[in-house]
Amino acid sequence: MDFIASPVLGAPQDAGALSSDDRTGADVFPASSVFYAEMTRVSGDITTVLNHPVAERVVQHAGWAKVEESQPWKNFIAGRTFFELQMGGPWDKVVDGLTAGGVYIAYDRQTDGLVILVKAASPEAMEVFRSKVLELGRLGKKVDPEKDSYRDLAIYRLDNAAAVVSGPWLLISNKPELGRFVVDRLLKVETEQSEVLASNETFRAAATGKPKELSAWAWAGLASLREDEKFLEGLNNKSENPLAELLVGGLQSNVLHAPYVTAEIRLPETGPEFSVAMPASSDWIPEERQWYFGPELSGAAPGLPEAPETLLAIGTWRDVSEMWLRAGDLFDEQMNDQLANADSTLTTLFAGKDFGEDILGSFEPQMGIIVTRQSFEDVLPAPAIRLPAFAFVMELRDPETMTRELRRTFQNMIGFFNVVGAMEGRPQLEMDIDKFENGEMLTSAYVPEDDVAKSTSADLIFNFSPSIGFSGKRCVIASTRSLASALTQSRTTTPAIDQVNSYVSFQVPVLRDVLNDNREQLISQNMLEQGNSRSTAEDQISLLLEVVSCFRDVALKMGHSDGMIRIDGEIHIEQDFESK
Amino acid sequence: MSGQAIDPELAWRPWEPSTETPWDRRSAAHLFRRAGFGATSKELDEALEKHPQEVVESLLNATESDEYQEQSDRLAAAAVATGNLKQLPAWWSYRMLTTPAQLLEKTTLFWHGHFATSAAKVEDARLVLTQNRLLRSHAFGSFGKLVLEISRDPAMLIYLDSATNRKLHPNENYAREIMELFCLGEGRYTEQDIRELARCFTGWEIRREKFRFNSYQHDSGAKSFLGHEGRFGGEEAVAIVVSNEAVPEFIAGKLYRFFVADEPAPSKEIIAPLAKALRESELRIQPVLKTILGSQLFFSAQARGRKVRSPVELGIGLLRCLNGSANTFELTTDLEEVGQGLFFPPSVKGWDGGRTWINSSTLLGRSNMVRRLLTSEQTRFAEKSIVEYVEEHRIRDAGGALDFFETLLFAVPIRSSVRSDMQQLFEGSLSNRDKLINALHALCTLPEFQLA
Repeated sequence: MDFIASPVLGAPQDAGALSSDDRTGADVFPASSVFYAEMTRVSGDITTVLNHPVAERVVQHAGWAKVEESQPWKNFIAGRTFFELQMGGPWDKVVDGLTAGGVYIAYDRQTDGLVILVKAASPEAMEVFRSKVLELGRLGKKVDPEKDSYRDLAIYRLDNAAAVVSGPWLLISNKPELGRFVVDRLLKVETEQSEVLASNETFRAAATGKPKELSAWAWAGLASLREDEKFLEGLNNKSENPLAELLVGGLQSNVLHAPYVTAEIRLPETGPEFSVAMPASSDWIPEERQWYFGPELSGAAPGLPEAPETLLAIGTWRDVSEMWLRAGDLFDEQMNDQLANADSTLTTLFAGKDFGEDILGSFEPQMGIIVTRQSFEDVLPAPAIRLPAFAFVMELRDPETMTRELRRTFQNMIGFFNVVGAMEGRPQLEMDIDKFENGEMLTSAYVPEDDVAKSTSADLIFNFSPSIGFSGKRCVIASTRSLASALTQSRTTTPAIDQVNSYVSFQVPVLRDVLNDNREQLISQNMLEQGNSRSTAEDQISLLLEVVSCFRDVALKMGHSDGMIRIDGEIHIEQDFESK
Repeated sequence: MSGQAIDPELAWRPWEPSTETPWDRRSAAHLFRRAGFGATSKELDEALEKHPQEVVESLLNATESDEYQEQSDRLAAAAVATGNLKQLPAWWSYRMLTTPAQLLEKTTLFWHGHFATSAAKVEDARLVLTQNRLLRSHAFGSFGKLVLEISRDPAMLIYLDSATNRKLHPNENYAREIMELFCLGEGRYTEQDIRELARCFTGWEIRREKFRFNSYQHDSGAKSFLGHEGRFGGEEAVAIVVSNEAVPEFIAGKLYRFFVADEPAPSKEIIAPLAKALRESELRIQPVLKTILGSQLFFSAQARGRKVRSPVELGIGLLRCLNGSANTFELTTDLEEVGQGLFFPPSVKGWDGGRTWINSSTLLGRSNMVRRLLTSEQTRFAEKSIVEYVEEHRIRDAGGALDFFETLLFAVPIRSSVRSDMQQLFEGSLSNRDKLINALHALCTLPEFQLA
């Protein structure tokens, strides 16, 4: 890299002019930047994480001693100690002083350059850091102290980049012209091209109303990014993956028109939170993707029936029937061939009814997936590996007709499984019917051989007892009879949330129980994979469970309001350790 | 016992150390390498405090504690529970690395190659594990009982297509292999013997993963084979085959090749005393192993370094000698890549062994396997890093390191022409992990290291 405009070496800096500088990266990065991120609470966030009760709890666990004995940890400690010795203080204090004014990163499309800007508490703090790093660099020959300069500022060459220190600012960039632009702005030098990101209209629109207490905030200028042909091509490509289409298809269409997208990260004591937002309009969603958000982006996820020990609940609005029927517009040729084959097979299975129109079309677009722990208390045979049960919860548009249809299809499928299972020597499924007030269930369960009937280490297959339940409009297809029963007969549902298209709720304590159910399996896998002795493996799994028990739940939701699509995520940390 | 001519009388007499061939770390390492997978430095020191015959006895009588067996069973159950056939090799490797009864494990490996059954065809982890346990429980015992049990073993029946053996269409596969590969060897039977023997096994089936005798499908007519006539069933047929006079010689020959030397093939005269011992012990394996492993021939130049390390001996051996632990999934994948996939022998003949372990492709693979083992983050030596391991053994300089590793890992001395190069590699490496690993890797790629 070469910033050279003046051959003056090591000239004194105009540090005093910058000491009261309250500018951010946006004030000095070029307006042609298409990505910008800022972290203004680095030191505070590090303190929050390191001093958090979770960190203390993990470090106090017996299993942590093994982590401390590991080579990577020893290397980390050795590196940290060396750093502290060189810097003459604790590393977190050094980082505190060095990043007090924030860390800013940008990618400039015009120069294809990346720039990182770090603002220290004071020019003196940055100067101490500069001199120490230079010293270290000379020792390790990593930094070339070659005395190139720009605007009287020394330039330090790194591998594929160069660094400049100006007052409290440390600038690193991999493109000379980008570096020069930022230095000019830092020094407030008037040049021909001086428009900065803060004056960019879409950036200003995004930054308006930005909350103050953020750990990190990022912005991407989608309008500029779309000028890149490859980016645009990627967005316009037909999907080869129905699951990806189901998850992000509508968002992809919106990205084709939205001017920008922003992301926020917050780190309160209760746990990390993030949000991603972009402007949205129903006009931007083409007809073939109306199935994703619904008309006027108004599709709302349903409340779901409650079941004990729910690990994961996903509620969403997706018109899957519409997606299936519009496969020709959404997927590539190969996927369309596969879907056509699947459609043909499923149409046969459903006695000639069109799978997309008649079967999928018989369900409302609101749907849910629920995953629960299986405890196997008082249930035999119990499998050695205990998998969670899962279920699809949907609503039938015409329950009277479809209940009969689905009942018949379920019987056919169980018969099919039994024929295939018999050929492969697997146990047979036995069917049963449960009738109850306002509903019924068709259940099936694998019939164990006598010598397996009381086993607590049976095959994986005994995790499953496929069942289907009907109650009014509600239809539940579940991997186990007990989950089907719980969901079909549940009278309580989680409340639907307005303007939320999809949500995910993940209960970490249940995950801990699931892991605990499979503790022996986890220990065994650890021994084989890590070569550990049993006691070491037990310690490591115990540490894993300890870490897991520090979290309460994870929540994710995507919705539309005030002309914006927002995706919000929260990881909640367990606050009441003592009672656990 | 030097020179080419071996006196059969002297060969199998118990070895007594002499000034010419002393009971030293090299001799002890040779014994552990063959009667197991290798010994740590501490195990060698402990062995030297005993008489060699005592060490052989202790190897033969080593047992696994109830706690160890319970732990191994839990690991096996976890491997089977996944239904993934690739989990079992990892379990067995872990066992080979950790069992206190390594001669039993080595002999189980011998029988696995002898009664070769591939999981690729059986496709049932539970059955494959059951056979492995069967081989272990009979490894030192009566060969006759072992053959009878293996003949009814579901994994073997599936592997040799005998799962449905009906009287109208007797399956000749097992009848052929029990004589040719398992008990007698080629040329000791006729095609007519195979056909008749196959009739004896009719009605032997598997139902729900278990052996079952279906009397309706059994050919109860008279059969005539190997000089015997009668209405034999499968059990009687096995007894007739096992009682054949060729069996002791055949089994003794295979034991010789596995435990003593790949080549040259032993003469009939050399094998005869072992065959006689087998006959006299009613085909019990343990007494013959005792004879072999404590013999003059075993400790002579005719046996030392006269075998090419199998991939298992190479990988497991390296780790066991250095008290190592590793990611056993990666280890077994490497073993498979260089030709010895545990539970996946290439054919019913098992592994050919000897020089066939080495070719241009496997030689590179063996080197890569050693490198991966040494560099993997999961590989530990006595639960320490390699640098700490060297420090713990008070190895002070390059010469000391070379001597230490040579005695521990090499069946034959390193050539003087490369010795100084090797020593140079160890210079300045003892406190530097990467340099030490590079030096050790270079050492383990020497031709001498390929020998056991």
